[in-house]
Amino acid sequence: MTVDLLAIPLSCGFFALVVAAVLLVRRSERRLGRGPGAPSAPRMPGPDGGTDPIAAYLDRMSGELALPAADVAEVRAELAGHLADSIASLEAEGLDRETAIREALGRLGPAVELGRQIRAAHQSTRRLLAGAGGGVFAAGGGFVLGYIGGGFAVAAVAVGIAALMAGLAAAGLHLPDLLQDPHGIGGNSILIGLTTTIAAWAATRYAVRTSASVSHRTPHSVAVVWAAAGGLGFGWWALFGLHGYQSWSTVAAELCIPVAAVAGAFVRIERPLPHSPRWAVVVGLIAFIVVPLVLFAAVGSSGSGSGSGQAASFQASDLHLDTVAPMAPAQWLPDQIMTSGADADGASGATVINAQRISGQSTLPIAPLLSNWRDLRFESWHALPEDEPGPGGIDTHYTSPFAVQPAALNGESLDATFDFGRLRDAGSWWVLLTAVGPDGHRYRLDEFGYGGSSDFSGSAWDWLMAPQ
Amino acid sequence: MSLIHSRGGSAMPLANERRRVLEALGDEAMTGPAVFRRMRERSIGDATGVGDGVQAGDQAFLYPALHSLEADRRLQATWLPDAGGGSRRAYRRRRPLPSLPCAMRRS
Repeated sequence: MTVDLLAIPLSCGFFALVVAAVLLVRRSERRLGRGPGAPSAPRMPGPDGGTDPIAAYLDRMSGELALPAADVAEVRAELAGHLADSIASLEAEGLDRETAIREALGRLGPAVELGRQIRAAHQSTRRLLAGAGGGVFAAGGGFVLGYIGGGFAVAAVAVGIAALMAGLAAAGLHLPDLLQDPHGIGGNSILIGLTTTIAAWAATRYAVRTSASVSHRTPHSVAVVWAAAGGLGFGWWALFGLHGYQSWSTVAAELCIPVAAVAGAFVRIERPLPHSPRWAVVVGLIAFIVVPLVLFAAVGSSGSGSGSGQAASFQASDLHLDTVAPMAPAQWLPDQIMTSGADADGASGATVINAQRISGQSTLPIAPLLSNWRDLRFESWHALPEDEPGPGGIDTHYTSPFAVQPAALNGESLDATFDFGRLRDAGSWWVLLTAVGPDGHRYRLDEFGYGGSSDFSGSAWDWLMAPQ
Repeated sequence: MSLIHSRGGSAMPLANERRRVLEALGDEAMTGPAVFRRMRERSIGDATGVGDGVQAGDQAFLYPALHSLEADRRLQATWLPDAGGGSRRAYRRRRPLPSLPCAMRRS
């Protein structure tokens, strides 16, 4: 077993960053969540009676502050203490209480102006920059925590839905396959999309509340900026950054990501973040590490069980290939033509189709055979799903091919390339070589053709722009 | 004597108030009223015979100055318990960072 030594410090550093982000968020929550009535707020010294003009002054001043709750409480408490001192000292000089209050308030100046000045003092450019940096940092931590928590939540819901479907199936009630995902990879993409949606929601929420606290602003005042940044950033990522299997359901799940990012910045943003008990965090982190290891070990020990299928014997007529075109008469096509396919180089998802002239065990040049034929082309037809029982073959619900490519002579064979991975609904397909014969009718030149299946692979944008 | 010489704009009086606050604050922690009293004493001492009354608006920039100095990390604010069982916000100057050995050698 080889262990990448660099992975250990990187993992430790990543874990430390997440912990630091969580600590920053918790500290910010204390500033945002602590109001004047909270037990930890500094106690306002009571000016023992006659509080109306003082309370009204402080209310007017507080209305201009637009600071986090803890800051508002502190400023109010501080000014209340200052006024109590001033009034006491003025009364000691011989002024009556009413005059002393008026004089003390007058020395502080207009309440609205004082509130504006104190707000400007708090909301410095330095704190704004610190808030932006803290918000980015907290967004990273929120994304990681949201991804972990969202992964557990989505997996739990998926297991519940699977159990419900199994129960309904056992009861004889079969629900339609809305995902239309014959290979089972679409469900995985949807789970990742939904998990990322939760992570994006958590990221912008953490960013808004942390940057508001650090920059001494209200969450509402910074939410617009983070909503725009989150919507654009996550929107770009969802459209162009997430590559893999795509279908209408996975694209819908991915397009939820920027929506969740914007919603996370606005919806009930003044409410404190939910506080997870420490034991729940520890259990979650352990499960996050242990469960994949156990699954990995279980999959590794089970070995490879694939490749045990049995070859079934079938006739060409079982494949319904005559739906495409009748087989070419033997007098115009004395030798057999065999079509095969292979994945193109790279990760493009394209398939190269190749037709060769076969005589016995040898391959012959195909060009002399083509003198009788014109307009040679490969036709791709929708086929019956591979996982259905039977030999498969052409899906007779369709009356025309979904893709056609001219057959190009390439040495001793005819070639064409189909980009099935960039077609939305390619699914199972069957490719046949056809051509127009001397009688002007189109015939099938190969007896069996070549079949396979492809899933759309690319970004959500690729899927949206792809041909049907 | 009024501590505020210009009422037209807020930048200049605030800058003046910040300077006075820094001059008035010693090493000990002081509450807002204590800082104001110290500033007033210093002002009277500087301009002898000009009067010692506090006028309306004289404290208008005291707290903006204290809070902006705290935001600039020139002052440190802490809540200290007072005699009445409550707590009062007190300010002290932040200690400057110790000089680096190389900077000391260069100086």
